[in-house]
Amino acid sequence: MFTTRRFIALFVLVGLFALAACAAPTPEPTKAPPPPAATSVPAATSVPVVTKAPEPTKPPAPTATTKPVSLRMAILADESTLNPYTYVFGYPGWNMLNLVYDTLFILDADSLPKPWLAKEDKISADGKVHTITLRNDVKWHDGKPLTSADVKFTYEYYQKVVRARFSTPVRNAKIETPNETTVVITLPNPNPSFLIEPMADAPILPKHLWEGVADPKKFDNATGSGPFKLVEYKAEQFYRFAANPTYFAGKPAVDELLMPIIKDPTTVFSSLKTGEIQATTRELSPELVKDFSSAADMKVQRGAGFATTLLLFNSERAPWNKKEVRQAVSLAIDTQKLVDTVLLGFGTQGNPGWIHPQSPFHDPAVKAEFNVAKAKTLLDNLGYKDANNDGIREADGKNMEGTLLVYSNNPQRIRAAELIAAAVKEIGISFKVTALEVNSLDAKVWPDFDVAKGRDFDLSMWGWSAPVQVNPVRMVALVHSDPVIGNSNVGGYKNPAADKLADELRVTTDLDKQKTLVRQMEALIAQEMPFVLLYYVDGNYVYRTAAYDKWVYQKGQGIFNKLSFLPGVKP
Amino acid sequence: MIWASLKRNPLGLVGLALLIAMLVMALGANWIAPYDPTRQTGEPFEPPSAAHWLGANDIGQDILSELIYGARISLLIGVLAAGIAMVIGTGVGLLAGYYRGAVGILLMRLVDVVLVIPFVPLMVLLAAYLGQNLWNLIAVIGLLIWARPARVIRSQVLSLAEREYVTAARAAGARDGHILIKHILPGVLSLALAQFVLATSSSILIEAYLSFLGLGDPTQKSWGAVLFYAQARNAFLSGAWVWWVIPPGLMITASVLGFALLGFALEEALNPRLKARAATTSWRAPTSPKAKPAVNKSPVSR
Repeated sequence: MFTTRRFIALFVLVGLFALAACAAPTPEPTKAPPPPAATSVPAATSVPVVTKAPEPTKPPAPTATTKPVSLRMAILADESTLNPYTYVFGYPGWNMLNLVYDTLFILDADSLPKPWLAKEDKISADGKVHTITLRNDVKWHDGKPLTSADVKFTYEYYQKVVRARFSTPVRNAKIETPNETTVVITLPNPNPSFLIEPMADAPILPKHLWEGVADPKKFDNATGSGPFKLVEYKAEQFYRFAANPTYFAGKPAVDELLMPIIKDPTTVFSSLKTGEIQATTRELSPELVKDFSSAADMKVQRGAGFATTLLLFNSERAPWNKKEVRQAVSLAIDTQKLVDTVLLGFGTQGNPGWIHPQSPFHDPAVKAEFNVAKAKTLLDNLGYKDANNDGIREADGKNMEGTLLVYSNNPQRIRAAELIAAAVKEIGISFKVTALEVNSLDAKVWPDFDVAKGRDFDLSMWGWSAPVQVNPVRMVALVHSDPVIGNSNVGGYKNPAADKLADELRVTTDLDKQKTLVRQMEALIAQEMPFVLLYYVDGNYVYRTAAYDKWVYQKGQGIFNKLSFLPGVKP
Repeated sequence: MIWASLKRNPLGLVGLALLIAMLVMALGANWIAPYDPTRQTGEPFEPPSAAHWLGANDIGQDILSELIYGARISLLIGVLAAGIAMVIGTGVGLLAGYYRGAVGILLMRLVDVVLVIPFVPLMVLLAAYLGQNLWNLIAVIGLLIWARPARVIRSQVLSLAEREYVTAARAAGARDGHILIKHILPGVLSLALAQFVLATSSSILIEAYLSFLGLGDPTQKSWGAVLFYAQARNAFLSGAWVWWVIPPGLMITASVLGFALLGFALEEALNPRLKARAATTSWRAPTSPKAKPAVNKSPVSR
């Protein structure tokens, strides 16, 4: 009996405590972060330990100006050992990988591919043969020179041991090395995005260390050629990088980079406020921008974000398989209002033709349209009227209603979904917003991440990361009906005209012609609406200026990139 | 008899008053709430003003209205989950108390197992497999908290089953089912009522807890969900916690406290053993001066 009482009393107490804790200005104790609470707590508590002892020889007090630059930049999740097969997330894991390794090309501040390890790349007239000349002054961290043999070895290793991101772009490529600084790559088909993927994407590995590695997931030697060496990695705690003094592009401006893992975003930003960390790879949420912008010792860099947020239709399911219905839904949604409400204005209204308005490929003629009357007319013309006066139109005898799925861990998107549901109600369409845990949603929309496996949903909130937008040829993958070519066509959209255009675009290497085709594709997507592009979230990155302030905002992708540590270097 | 006993227990009365207030709020939300909480009536992240006493949330919905309508969801979850828990708990308690052989032992070990299930990992799993919606949340909470009521009820059944009238019924040839339902169940119903109220209290708290962690249904406006959004949209960093976190926290505390106080009071009034204890000890300091003489007059003490 008493245990029951105590149990209940304890609950009441816990409630009161939670309140008391909430009232405290630094709220770490209440921030028990979602699911893996058990693992994240030790990580969070370990951070102070890390920050206290970055290096015994460097006292933290920044008194003398000649002191080496030491920077603490928090990440939100463990990225495992840093090699192309073990890093976990495309961002920031891939970016961390690129502190240690180099690629043949690099994306510059405008996110366009420029030579890096390569001095130049000559493309044959038929677009199939790339003759790459390498720099001859690049050395691995262990002092050995980087040569064409390493490049050949690496690309062939990616062919042999699959990690889709790096393996797919080099599939069936033939690689030859006439001399130490020349690599000749022969492709079965012309690939217009070869400079971006794999050239500016796949890290080059040292042959002398990787030869004979059968299982790269168990290989934890992070010797690369990049601006930083990984000197220490403590799982779930931190990464410590040291500058590579003999880097071919010059010694990086940061001597020591410590990247603690802090799983809770609130803790990340309160640590930034107190100065325990000086930067983070995490974007600043819109609601915090004002607060952090006004802090004297901090700066917020804002720039375009290429990550997309969209409303995805299942184009195989009625009534969403009708172009006019998709158009009507799009016309009913005021995307500018979404940007103003959900993102507090820190975003860019979606271009219905996919391409970000700040991309050099964008056609200004393609614009978003919000017109409720026109949406209603479209549906009326189809004969989809509300015959039974329940506020919902009927399409061929069935109510125009659907379930709108959204990740339950993404409150921003849940809010957007709720606003969209309210908007389409105005034109007589009913969306029921259903929040699903990430894996359950993916299992319905993109089972096994393979569009060939079909789909089971009506509508879903969706999004693609920035790299998909950086490479305009990736539009092909969004709309092509062949599941191998259209490997990102998660809505199952099918249209012979789109396939034809896509087939042409994916083998066009001539840049002018490519631009024309991209614009045609943009117009087609805007007309056909396999999805409604809602918005692009702007990137807001905050850092303490006293610690380091030479960050380079890479268009659409943010400040955490190799160039941020190499001020003055323009590829 | 319940009311008479309750009247002498000021804490119980406070609990009752709190609950009536919550109930009025839930039922009268349409009239009390200043706005429709699903509509955008203010600016996103608007601080409190005359128009919005508790400001507006991240998409400009009135927070005060969210809280008033939230009483519906939170109370609904609390009552239904407690209902499930009581049906299972009473059933298991009856059987385990009456059949003391293998059945009783088996059931009580099951109770022990349920008591130690860590519910957050379980909830993560169930959210993934069943989907995150209101009904799953209710079912899961109900399935997690029936064990304590089951133990309490079993202990009462153990004593009831030895009473003369039960022995008499058995001697007269009554079947077990008949005895359980006609003679023993009525004896534990009042106890079950107290347990039900206490279970409601924990259900509300568990719901708030799970929703806050993002494991509830984020499309429902429960108090826990309000806290979820406040946390997700950085109310703790931006200073908005004053009007976005404390009020739902107070609502949760008030309703949990209300159910708990009423539950304790009912338990005391209805559980003979506790009644006796209340008469001899003064662990509830605030009530002791008045309660003591009153209880002394009660039939049990004489």
